[in-house]
Amino acid sequence: MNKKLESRISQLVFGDLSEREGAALRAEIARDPEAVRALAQYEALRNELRGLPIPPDQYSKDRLRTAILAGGLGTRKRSPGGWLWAPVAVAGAVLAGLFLTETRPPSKEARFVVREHSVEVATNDVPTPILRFPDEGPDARNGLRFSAPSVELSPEPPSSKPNSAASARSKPTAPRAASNPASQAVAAEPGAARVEMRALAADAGFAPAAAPAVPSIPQSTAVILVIGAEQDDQSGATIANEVHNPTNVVIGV
Amino acid sequence: MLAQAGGTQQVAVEAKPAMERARPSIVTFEARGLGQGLAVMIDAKGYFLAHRHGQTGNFAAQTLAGQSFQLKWIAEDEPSQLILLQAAGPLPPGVRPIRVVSPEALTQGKGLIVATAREAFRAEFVSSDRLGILNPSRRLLPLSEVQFQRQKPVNFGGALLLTEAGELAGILHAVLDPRQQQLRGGLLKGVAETAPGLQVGFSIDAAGLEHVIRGLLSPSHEVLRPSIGALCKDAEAENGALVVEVVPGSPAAEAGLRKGDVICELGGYTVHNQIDFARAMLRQPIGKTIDITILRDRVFKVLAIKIGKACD
Repeated sequence: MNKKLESRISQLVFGDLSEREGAALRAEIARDPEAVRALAQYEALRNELRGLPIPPDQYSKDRLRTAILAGGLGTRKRSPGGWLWAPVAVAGAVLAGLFLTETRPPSKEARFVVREHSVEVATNDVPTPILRFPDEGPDARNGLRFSAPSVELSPEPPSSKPNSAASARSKPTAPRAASNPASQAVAAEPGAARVEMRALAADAGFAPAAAPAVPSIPQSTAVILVIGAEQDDQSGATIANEVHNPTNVVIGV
Repeated sequence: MLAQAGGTQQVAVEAKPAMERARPSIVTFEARGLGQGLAVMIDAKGYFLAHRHGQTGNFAAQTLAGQSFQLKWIAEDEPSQLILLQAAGPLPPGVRPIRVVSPEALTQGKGLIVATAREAFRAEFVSSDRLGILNPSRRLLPLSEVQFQRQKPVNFGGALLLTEAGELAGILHAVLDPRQQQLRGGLLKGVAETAPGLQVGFSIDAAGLEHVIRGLLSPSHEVLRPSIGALCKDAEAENGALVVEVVPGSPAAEAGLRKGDVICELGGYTVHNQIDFARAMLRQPIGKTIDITILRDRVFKVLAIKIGKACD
């Protein structure tokens, strides 16, 4: 999976794509098991982030910041005519309100509910990831198990994010199961996904500044010596055989 | 060019200085029905190291100066096939422990001496990045490769590898199958034109030798290695090491590892095949609990497993 697709997946998860773009991307993702995994992981990450507690003072500041950024700080042009249109607009609005109140049937459902305290709502109407296997029928998805992994977030202040993210990328990352071409399933154990999420958190800039270095060994040359199975006819010396494709050589530790 | 030295050992001229330095540490011993072998003193308490000869009990030994004494079999490290012997009585005067070479001192092209009970001659260190299994053990060990020139086939099993400074650099286990030397091409082909009879020999590497000596000289005389009790081969259909057997009661069994699982990651190391698995295990400290990622029924799982110790 390339970086561009991963970027679009993150846009999808965090609501930056339109409905049509999202549907097209989901169809594309469904053809790529690795992308399916990435989507699931981003969704898990999003859910975890949403679940984080926000202190009330920061919450209001955050809203204020969002409002300022959305509305902009520049001066606005006053429309021609100044405030002369305002009384007319108010009168029109009052008349329209009276008209709608009289003609519209009363709704049984409230469209918006404002509560002072949070409540938990259970529902079955949630989007489910589309997982398909090229070599199996649609029933294959029934065998899948899925769980949202935990995310380890840094207590460090945001100022360290760019550097820590860059350093995390430059270091050898944790061996990721996603790089395994044989993998077509999603980790079901929290521990398995923890490695994945740590890498994702590092990419997102949430990794601890001192991310633990993951050791690495170069891939084996796949040539080993088997000694002692054969002896030289003339000398009786033990013969070492080079095995270039030791697929069936059993090694025990 | 060979010069007659003490006993029946013939020492090549270029090997003489090294043999002179190592001579007080080397003894010959009789393995019943197998002829003479060499043992080298590794500790002041009278401990000697040698290649195994399939026998235990006492051996008649002799210094290169011709003094006789008895050696007693103490212990064996099966994966490296090295045995520990100890003088059964008082040591002959002048016998002293040999120094063991530092692994960093062995570089490609370094001159070495191969010493058998019959002769000593020059060899060349090639590399220490080979991996091998010494049957019947299933354990993968790092090996050193050396090359030397001999016209006639000789059993070099148990020959000592010495540096020019007279330090112990290894004990030869085997020589490469002559038929396979033809397949190696490159250097050997080119050299073979002017150096007929070139042979390639293998010993456990210097770091492994240090570890074996340390273990054999410990109070239990055991060479401990990290172990979990699993046998693996390459998972051809997947990318990892396929578990073909789990030893009952082992750490692997206690952690829930099963036959048919594919190990994809061990202690943070990616595992592509059974060789990576064994190499990753070599780096694990005994007693530490690590995570291994396995693929079972198309689902990844993580098992926590405590690294055990084994001396076989």
